[in-house]
Amino acid sequence: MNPPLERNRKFTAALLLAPMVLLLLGFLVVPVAGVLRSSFLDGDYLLEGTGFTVGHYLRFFSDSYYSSILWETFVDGVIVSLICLVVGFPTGYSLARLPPLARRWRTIIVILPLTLSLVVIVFGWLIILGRNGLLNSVLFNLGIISSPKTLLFTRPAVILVLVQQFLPFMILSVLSVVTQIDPVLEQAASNLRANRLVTFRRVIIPLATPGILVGCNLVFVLSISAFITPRLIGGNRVPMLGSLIYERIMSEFNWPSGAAMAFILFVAGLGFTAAFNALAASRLVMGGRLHAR
Amino acid sequence: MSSNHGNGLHGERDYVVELQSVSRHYGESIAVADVSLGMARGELVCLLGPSGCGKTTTLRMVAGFVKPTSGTVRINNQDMTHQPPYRRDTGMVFQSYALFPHMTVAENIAFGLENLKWNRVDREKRVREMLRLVELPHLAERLPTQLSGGQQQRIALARALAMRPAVLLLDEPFSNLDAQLRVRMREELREVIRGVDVTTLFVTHDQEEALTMSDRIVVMNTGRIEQIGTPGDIYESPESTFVAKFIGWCSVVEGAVDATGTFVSKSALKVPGNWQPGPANAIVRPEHVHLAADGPQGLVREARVLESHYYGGATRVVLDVGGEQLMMHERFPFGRHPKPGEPLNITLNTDEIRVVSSSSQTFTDLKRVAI
Amino acid sequence: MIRRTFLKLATATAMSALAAPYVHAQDKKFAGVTLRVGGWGGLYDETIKKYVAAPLEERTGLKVEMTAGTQSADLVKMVANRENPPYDIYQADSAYMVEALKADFIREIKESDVPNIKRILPGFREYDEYGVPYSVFTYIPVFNSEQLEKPITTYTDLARPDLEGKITLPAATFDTNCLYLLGMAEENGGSISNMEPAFKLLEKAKDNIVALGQSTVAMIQMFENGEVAAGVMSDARGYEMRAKGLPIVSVMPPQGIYGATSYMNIPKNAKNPEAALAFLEQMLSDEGMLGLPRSMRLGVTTDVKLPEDIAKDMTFNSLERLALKKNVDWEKWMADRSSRIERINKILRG
Repeated sequence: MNPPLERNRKFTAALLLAPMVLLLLGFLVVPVAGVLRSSFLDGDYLLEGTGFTVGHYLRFFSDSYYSSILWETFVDGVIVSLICLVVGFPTGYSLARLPPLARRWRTIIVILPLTLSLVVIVFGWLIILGRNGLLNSVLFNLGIISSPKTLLFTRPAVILVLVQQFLPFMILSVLSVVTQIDPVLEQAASNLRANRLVTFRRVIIPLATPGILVGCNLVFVLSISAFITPRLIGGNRVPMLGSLIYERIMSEFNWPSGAAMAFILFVAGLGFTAAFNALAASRLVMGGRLHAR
Repeated sequence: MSSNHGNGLHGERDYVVELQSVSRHYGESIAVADVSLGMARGELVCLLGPSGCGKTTTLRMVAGFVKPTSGTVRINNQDMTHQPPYRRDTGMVFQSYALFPHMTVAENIAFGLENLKWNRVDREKRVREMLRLVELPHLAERLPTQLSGGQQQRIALARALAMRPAVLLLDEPFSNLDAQLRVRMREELREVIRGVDVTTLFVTHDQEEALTMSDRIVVMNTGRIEQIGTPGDIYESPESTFVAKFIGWCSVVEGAVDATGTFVSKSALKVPGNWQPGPANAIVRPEHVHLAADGPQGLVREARVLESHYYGGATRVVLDVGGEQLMMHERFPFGRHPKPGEPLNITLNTDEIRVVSSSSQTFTDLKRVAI
Repeated sequence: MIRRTFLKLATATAMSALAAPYVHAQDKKFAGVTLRVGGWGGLYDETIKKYVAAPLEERTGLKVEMTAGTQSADLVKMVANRENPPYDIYQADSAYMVEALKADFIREIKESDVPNIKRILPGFREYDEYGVPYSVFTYIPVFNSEQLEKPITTYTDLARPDLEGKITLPAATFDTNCLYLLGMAEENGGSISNMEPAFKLLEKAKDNIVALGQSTVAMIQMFENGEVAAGVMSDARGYEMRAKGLPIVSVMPPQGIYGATSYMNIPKNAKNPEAALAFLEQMLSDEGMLGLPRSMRLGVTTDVKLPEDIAKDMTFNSLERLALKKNVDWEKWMADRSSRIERINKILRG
């Protein structure tokens, strides 16, 4: 080997990574550390407290109100992820199996909603789900309901809107992994007497698992941290931790408490996804090695 | 004429696989046109042709991955034209092997058996049997990515054969192997196939592969069958210039057959015989041309060397023989290779030269219209 | 801490970009001066620009720049930039006045500075020499007269069983809007220090509530879409809906009306205190004072004479009405806000 060249390469690598590392350090690590620190401040107004206390954390865990909201937030996150998976997988899969050109503009259509402001999306849903809205009038005209129903401000409405918002992430994740699966494997399965369902279950799903995991993680994390949708679509009737944190910080100015809640959500979310991934990964390995020992 | 062409068109014989006037169109373009073929039990048939000739499409129509635009596909005397691949009694080895990367070798082989609802004990027994057959019993728990190309191919073969399919389908099985391995795998594969006595249809563009492995070769060109025959038939008695040129080296000498049945080229090269009168080509293979000194009895002709290519064991020489370009393979003593411009005396073994009608390509067209 | 530094930095950058070049050679007193006013957006800011800023610029050459924001965000900005406040005039309602005083970044304004202060009605200047009150909101029940058979007459009525799935209330984080709770308490023997009756009533009203409004715009939309038939809104928004043709009735509960006053303040370190004082003087003049009543039918804080056609649509258009206005112990109200928000959230949780 050539040592100077080797050193040079390392230097180049460091140089290439530097902007990213600095950016993350400056705008992610340092602020998160700041949030962590402020969550231990003994005070309840902006950052005017001093000292060190675990009181904000204690208050969260000693009140079943908060822990039950944390739980419900996670349940909502899981439900949204599952619906996105069920709806997004076929879409992502069929996109992946299209010729590249046809796939390109359809993918743009999938991404398009992400370019819309969330506020626009939410107001759009208010119009669709409203008492005089599109859905009510369709159901009414079809004779399915006899009087307009309140569809907004309910948990299903919040979940529906979250699904609509985050579906593209699932579709794109599935799309990217399915394009890596050689279609000839499906033909091989078919030749080996596997009907479409068996092929799907035993070949496509296991091979698409990395994409499914990424998609589920993205949607889950985005869902549990959502706060605009539960506030506007849920009308405060569907509490999620994100909107509670928003209130605590932006309305009550209780930054330490808000920081503590944010950190709890952060750690719990991280722990949940890590556990989920470890479980899914071990299942995958087990599945692959069923006859191994 | 293509004596096997119409074999079993109406299913009167007991064929394992039978294609009846099968065509496949993609919009305006025709991938396969009116292919008919019957495969007897235990037969090893090869679809040979240049890329784009329709051979792979034909194979995929047997497997069920491509639906014919018209015609019938019969397997075990049952109409399978509209059945999905998983209802067809075929086992396929894909060009890329298509082993499932998330399953071990044993799981790959057992996959088809599970779908056929074999019980666990039989399955495991069969997997061991197949691994023994391909001589890789120690690799049962490996993942496909941990195998070499040759090992992957053998596992793919074991996986296809495990189900005891009526017909084994091989799609360019050696194209992903390097040249040396290719020859070895060819022999191994042939041995295994002979051993289990399975009816086999395989696709290749490599004439050597086709000649060494097949009982019968189907030469295809532009979606049509040019000729069906044993390797010997195809090589020795090509029915068209295309077949002759595609299989082995040859020089094509243009000319016509006169009323006496003798072929006469434009520069008066004669091939006596009882050929069909009309415009025709003489197919002169290198082995029909010999140095005058050591050649068989025949007329000595004067020739001039045009090109000379040294191949180690032999030298390929392109000669000008009375205005015709002919090719010769010959072993020259070291340091005595002919150089361009040099004169040489040669003899032509006209008894072995084959003459084909130069309009023979239209024969299949005519036949197609007739049907 | 990082945030604070960041905000300071950002503000300083914005400041230097905004600082207008000094234009001399004009007789007008404030020529070349730009006054930065924290606004609340929409028609409200437009009105102040039209009736306060425009005439002032005409007379003195003062340029006024209003930046729409929210009280809470503006408060954070002011606290974070005490030395170099982003506004020369900071607006706060009665509730946020408590916060602004607590944060200690506004200065006293005396009658000698702004002569028109003497015209302010008794009881309207709630914080001694701090803050200049210029407008009054009330938060009263409203209902759609076409959708309700039985009219609402009190805050307590909002818990009536026949209103199931028909009402909207302001989100708990809106401190002044949530005065309806004080109304519920005082109508049922409670008080600001005994809110239990109100919370009991809210518990009863739980199934009536379709949603809590996260903004007045969202609440108006609920009425427009027929999502709700009743609720609590500011009198200005009630007028706005009536003006749009909705059959909205604003209720004057006989036991008292709860409202809040809007104040203008000058930060201690304001860049242009003289211009700010001139702005306040204009705000309290007849011309300035009548702007918001004209455009939004909001209540006034001075002895200005109201034109009849405007007065008829206003909440406080007579002495009897004015007598209904209840005083609120804002300090207590704000001290309880965290526990109030949590309590409301808990009650309304399924």
